[in-house]
Amino acid sequence: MILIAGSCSVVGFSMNSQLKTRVAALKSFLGATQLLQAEIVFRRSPLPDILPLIIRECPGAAASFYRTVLHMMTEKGCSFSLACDRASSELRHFSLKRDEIEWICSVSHIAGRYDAATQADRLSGILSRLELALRQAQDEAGQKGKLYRAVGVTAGIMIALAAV
Amino acid sequence: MNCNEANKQFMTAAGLLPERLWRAAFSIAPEQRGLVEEFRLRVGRPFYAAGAGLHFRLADCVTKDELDELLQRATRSSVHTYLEQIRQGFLTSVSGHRLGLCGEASAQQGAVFNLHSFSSCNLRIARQFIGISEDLRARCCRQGFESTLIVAPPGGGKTTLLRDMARGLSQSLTVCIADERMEIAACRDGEPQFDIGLCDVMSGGQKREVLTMLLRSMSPQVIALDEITGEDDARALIAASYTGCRFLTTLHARNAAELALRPAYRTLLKQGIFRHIIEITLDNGQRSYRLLTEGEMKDDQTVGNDSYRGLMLCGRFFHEQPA
Repeated sequence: MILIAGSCSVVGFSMNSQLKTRVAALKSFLGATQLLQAEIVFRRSPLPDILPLIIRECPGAAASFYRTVLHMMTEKGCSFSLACDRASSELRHFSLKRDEIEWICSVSHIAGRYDAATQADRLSGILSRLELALRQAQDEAGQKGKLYRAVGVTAGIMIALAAV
Repeated sequence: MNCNEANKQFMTAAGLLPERLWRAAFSIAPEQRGLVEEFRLRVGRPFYAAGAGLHFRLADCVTKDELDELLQRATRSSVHTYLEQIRQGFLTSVSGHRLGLCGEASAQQGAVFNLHSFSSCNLRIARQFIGISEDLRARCCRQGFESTLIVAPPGGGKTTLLRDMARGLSQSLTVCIADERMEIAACRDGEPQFDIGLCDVMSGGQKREVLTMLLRSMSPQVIALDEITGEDDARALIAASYTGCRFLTTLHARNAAELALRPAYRTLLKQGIFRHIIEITLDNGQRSYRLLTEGEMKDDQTVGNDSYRGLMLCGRFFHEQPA
């Protein structure tokens, strides 16, 4: 009985945790993209110099993803876009939705390919999408998080009682 | 430059190449790698290396993807950082190797806005020969250092000589380097990739602006800078010369006599900016140096004398200095 109630609660807490992970990942990538844009526009820094900054300043999902990207660029000689493509499978671990993963990956088709002004314009588009996604994720986490926990615990107790 | 250093430079330059071409480059025998001065890549045509009068055919057709990959590596996937250089048809990699570019130019308001659809490029391996300028430097400094112009054809070793002269001069004078093309010091994160002694370096930026900034901020006695090409640069140099600063610069030309053909240099010569001209000649990969110093013409020189060699440029006499 305790086991049934416990496992249902864990499912509920786990679903709540996924929502929180997504919010944290979006926050991290939003910060990383803002930093990337600022470094490109104001300092014209090359990407291999920006990535260590992102790793340091944007802990969490972005740091982990761009650490892999930087490793592929420096150790394997991959271009930024190729390294991002190869590292994109890592993004699935952050509970992000498919279109959010696509937006994050699309940074690799913009950063370093054009003059700074064009990059700034196109990165602004991605930033606004990420901001919107973050707001939605926060709302979802606020509304559904508690619900998932409550449903998990309640379902566990109900099933246990039914079993008895 | 010893054999190890030459091989190291060869390896860092070859490391920029895509894998197939990189492997092909290493098919050159180790003892010949130090002779290679450049790699030539042309889309749809063979991959070559050249240097010291030798040509090595290293691989078959270079593909467009390989050229793009080379560009990605040379720009560190960051076109925005190197856009100004790309507009001028070249870019300097972090190790100081220069990638000359050919492609389609996009124009905007009468000026080249960008280069794209690259069709060929040459990767020039940066070399450092410490001490090659000692004799020339001593001769230029007999009565204190005066502004010096280094003249040589492409691939003649102008930048290498300029770098070594700047390094040597910096032991006794305040020398600044205006490194517009980032070839002289090849600074990376503020750290020069070559031995430039005690020189202060301002990388990137246009010469006319950088000269003013250096004069204002660093009180240089000598400014070393790469080729003066436009009249704007020449005017900036003349204006800067009024501060008492001396210059060390280079020019692409077959010989010193060709100086008078260029409007910017005619202006500089008439103003008496340069007191010394160093001419580098290339013969079968061997370089020889000739120093010409401005001075008055003597009677026996006017009528001609077998032992005398010199030339008149824009009303000024330059006499060859014996070694």
